Amino acid sequence: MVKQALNTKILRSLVRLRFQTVSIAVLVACGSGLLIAAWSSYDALQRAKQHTYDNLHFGDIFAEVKEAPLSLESRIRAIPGVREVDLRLVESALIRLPGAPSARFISLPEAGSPGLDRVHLKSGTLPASTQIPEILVSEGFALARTLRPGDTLGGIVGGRQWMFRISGLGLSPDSVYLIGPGSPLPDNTRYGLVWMNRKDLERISRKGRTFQRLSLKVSPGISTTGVIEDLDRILKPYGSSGSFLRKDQLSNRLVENEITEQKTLAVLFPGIFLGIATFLIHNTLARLVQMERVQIATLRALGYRSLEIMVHYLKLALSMIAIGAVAGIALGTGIGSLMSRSYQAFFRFPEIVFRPGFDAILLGLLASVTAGVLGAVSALRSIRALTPAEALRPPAPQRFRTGILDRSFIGPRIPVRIRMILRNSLAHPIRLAWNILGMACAWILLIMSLSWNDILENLIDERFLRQSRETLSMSLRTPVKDASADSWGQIPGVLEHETYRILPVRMRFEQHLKTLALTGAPLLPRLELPAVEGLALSRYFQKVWGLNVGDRVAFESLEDGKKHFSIPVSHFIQDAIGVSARVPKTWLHSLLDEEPSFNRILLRVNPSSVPDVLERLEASPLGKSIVTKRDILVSFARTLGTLIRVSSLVLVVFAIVMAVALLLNSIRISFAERQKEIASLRVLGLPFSTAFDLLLSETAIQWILAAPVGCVAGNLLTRAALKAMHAEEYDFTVVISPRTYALSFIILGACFLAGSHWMRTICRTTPLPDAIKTEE
Amino acid sequence: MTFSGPERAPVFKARNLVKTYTWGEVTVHALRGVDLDLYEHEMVVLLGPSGSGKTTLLNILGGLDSASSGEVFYRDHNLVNSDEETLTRFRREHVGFVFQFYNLIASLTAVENIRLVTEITSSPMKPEDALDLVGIKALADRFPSQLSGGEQQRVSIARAIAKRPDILLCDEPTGALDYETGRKVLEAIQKIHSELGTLVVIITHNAAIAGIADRVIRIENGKIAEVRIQPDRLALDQIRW
Ligand SMILES: Nc1ncnc2c1ncn2[C@@H]1O[C@H](COP(=O)(O)OP(=O)(O)OP(=O)(O)O)[C@@H](O)[C@H]1O
Ligand SMILES: [Mg+2]
Repeated sequence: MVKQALNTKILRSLVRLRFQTVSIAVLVACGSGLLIAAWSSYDALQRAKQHTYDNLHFGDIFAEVKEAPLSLESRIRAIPGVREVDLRLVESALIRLPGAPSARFISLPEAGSPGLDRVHLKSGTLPASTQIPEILVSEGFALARTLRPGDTLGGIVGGRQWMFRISGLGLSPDSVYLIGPGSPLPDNTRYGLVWMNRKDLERISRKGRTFQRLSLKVSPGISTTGVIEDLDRILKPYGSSGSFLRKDQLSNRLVENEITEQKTLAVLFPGIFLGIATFLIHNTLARLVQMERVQIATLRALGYRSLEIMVHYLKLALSMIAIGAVAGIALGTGIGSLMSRSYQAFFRFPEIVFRPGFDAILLGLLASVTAGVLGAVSALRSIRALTPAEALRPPAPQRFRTGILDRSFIGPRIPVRIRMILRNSLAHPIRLAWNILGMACAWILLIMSLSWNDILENLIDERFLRQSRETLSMSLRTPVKDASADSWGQIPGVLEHETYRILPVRMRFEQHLKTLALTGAPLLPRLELPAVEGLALSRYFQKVWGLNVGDRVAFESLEDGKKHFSIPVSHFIQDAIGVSARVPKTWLHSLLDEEPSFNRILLRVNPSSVPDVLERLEASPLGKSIVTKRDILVSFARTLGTLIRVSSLVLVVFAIVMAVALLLNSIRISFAERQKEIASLRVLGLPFSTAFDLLLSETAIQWILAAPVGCVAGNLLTRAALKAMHAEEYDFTVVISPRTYALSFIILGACFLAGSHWMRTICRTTPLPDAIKTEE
Repeated sequence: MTFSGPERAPVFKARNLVKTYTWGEVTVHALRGVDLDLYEHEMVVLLGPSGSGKTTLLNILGGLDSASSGEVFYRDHNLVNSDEETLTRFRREHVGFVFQFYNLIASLTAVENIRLVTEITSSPMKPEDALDLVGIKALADRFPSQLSGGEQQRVSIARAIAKRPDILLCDEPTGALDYETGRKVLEAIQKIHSELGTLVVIITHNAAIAGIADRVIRIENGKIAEVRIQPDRLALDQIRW
């Protein structure tokens, strides 16, 4: 029965402390909501990936060759451990659409063998062999170019013009994340896949019974290194660029990367949010215990054990958290499905099914409760120290001592009213620090979330404008002599040109292995920075491979006539997106023992001549692909940019809500402590506004001190967060613009003004006799 | 000091004073029509059962609270309907308050608590003198947490009288104190009354204390039930409780 009385007390407290209840609930809702959202979209991605890979029979090992006869199939099948083999004819092409996007034509498996890396038919029908060859177009490209089944499409394949009819749209497990050659980012308008029946493709490409792409599946438990060695031996004469495992397959690697990042997001930010919620719960309860100490002592005098009383307050905290956690589940589900949908912009799975998993919700609840218990327990320890005798004494005034300030010569000159504020602030440094920390958390939240946009803008600026100044770049099918570069320079409208030698290599250091393009760059590049004097590698290799300057890295050329060489690392460079390896172009020529030549050319073009230049280049038989800077920027904004913006928007909204709740709560707490003093001053005859402003200044001091603390901590935490996210593909520079600080200042300043206005209203409307009566 | 007759002009003149508190549907009548005159240099004790309206009346007289209806004149000024600014000035210039629970500012020493008032009034006494008057000059530099209850209450009295108020309003000033300490506090109040000639109103539950008053007013159920004039009031050392 008495317990019942205590439970009633919990309900009353929830109502009486409604503001604290709401702000704790908001923080918990945001923290657990984000956790649930990120965890469920992580889960959705993971499931979509697994489902796609299983259903469409994604291969284990892949290889690309220049051209090899289909008859090799039996030899490949004979490699011990190989279970299935799939050989495809591949031809690159330009599509007759505005901007001349490029496409990769891939043969469909022949009837009777379903093959690996199967195509999932999204709409329409499979291609039939009719007069006009029918094709399947990859869904992303079709959507970006508004192509529908039944449409006809022109293209240049094997140097000749063809007309195709689109019979359907498709997806494949090896192109979930599709990036065109020479482009750092996916761009569905610039690059797509086209599948057609082998017979038709053999005819138009005139490549006959050959294959260029191989995918195979091995028996479980087989050592893949053995298979790769055998396979490389068989393919070597046919211009293989080396076989590789699924984990090095580009699309898969990027998908895995994103999944990892999602997981980091699912832990990092909710962790910070819930940490702050813990802090707020601690502050609120510590203050409550302080306020109710006479009641607590009375309960103890009545015979309650301190543990029972602690449990009582814990229940109160958990009730506040429960409200937040329930809201968090609803919020997380909503935001999660929004986030999963934003992945559709560049991940093409047959379907991403978002469902808020039981485990995600459980995780959210668990995290919230942990936060609550941690916050509560630390605040409730003081209950132990309260003796029943405390109840019988009149409320004792807080302890103060004279400080250095008073002993100094200016001490006596300070008006008593100011002295009161200073002492309040200085006499309880721990409480002051605690209050400041609470407010600083609001800054941290805002800076961390708002800076995402700064980082993104800096990335665009640095990577796409300052480091690369070309208008467009063109990759060539085969290297050509340097002497011929001038003919590009003479195209009307071309202002500058610069040639590069790109060599596909396999790079090796200790147990690490990676296939990538080694760029031979001019010694003094004008269009693509930075300049390199020796072997320059992405910082990724320093961080993840543990390379140091001076270490020798082994390279194996994947072009015809495999060459092996090793070069010491001379420095590391920051690549915001992707990884790279660069050497001076002349080195590359001597290493390869070749005449000066190039297979990539960068052009800076007079803006008005871009269409003409493009037309000239597209007509060139040497071209493999052409990418303009504009396309890259547009595609960046559309893909990665969208993703970062969506997640940063989610963060910003959450952060603002939380920061506001946090700051208002801090203001409220520091005022609750002073309300009685304001009343006392008014009784003594100080006008309301003077008394109020005097005590407002104490909160203002805390607010002002919190600003630098919050800025510094926000800055450090943003750096730490980005470091924790060090996925291979991203190495962003942390920049926090003055705009972010200014915006945080404005938001929190407005919050302070609103909060103090609110407190003013409360103080003004509380009748003086009541305010005097309230126990501190 | 003897009781001054009713021919003198009253300091306070309350007429048909009503105070109601409304809590949703419940209405509490704290004061149900109080008529009261208080004169200069008077020592008045308010007695009455708990909840009878003593504190409410004192708060209205002191400008802390406003009446629901009726009139209260402080000399020529009607306190009912006065704005906040006027009431603040009234409190600052004329009224000293002493509460049961001292209400000292914890972050200020005894002398600083007094200075808080002397800094904003026109002709205050020196804070040290105020402390001397209540007999605790030696404790000037202690913080409230370093003082006993009785000492805190005496600081609170010193703070109330340092501005040389016309009126000193005390709400159960000895309520939280033991006999000896309570005596010292009353001594202090009486000393101020006799030395400064202040109008003093004391609320108490202790009927014995009423002996020191010029007039004892008994309040019951929101109304004045009895006014007793004590032409030969007792000295403090003549009473015991
Ligand atoms: N803020 C308030 N809200 C509602 N009712 C109030 C409020 N303050 C006082 N009352 C009520 O008004 C009546 C008079 O209260 P008051 O405090 O004046 O009594 P009192 O005579 O001082 O009692 P005590 O001797 O116990 O201090 C009581 O019934 C009380 O419940
Ligand atoms: Mg009372």
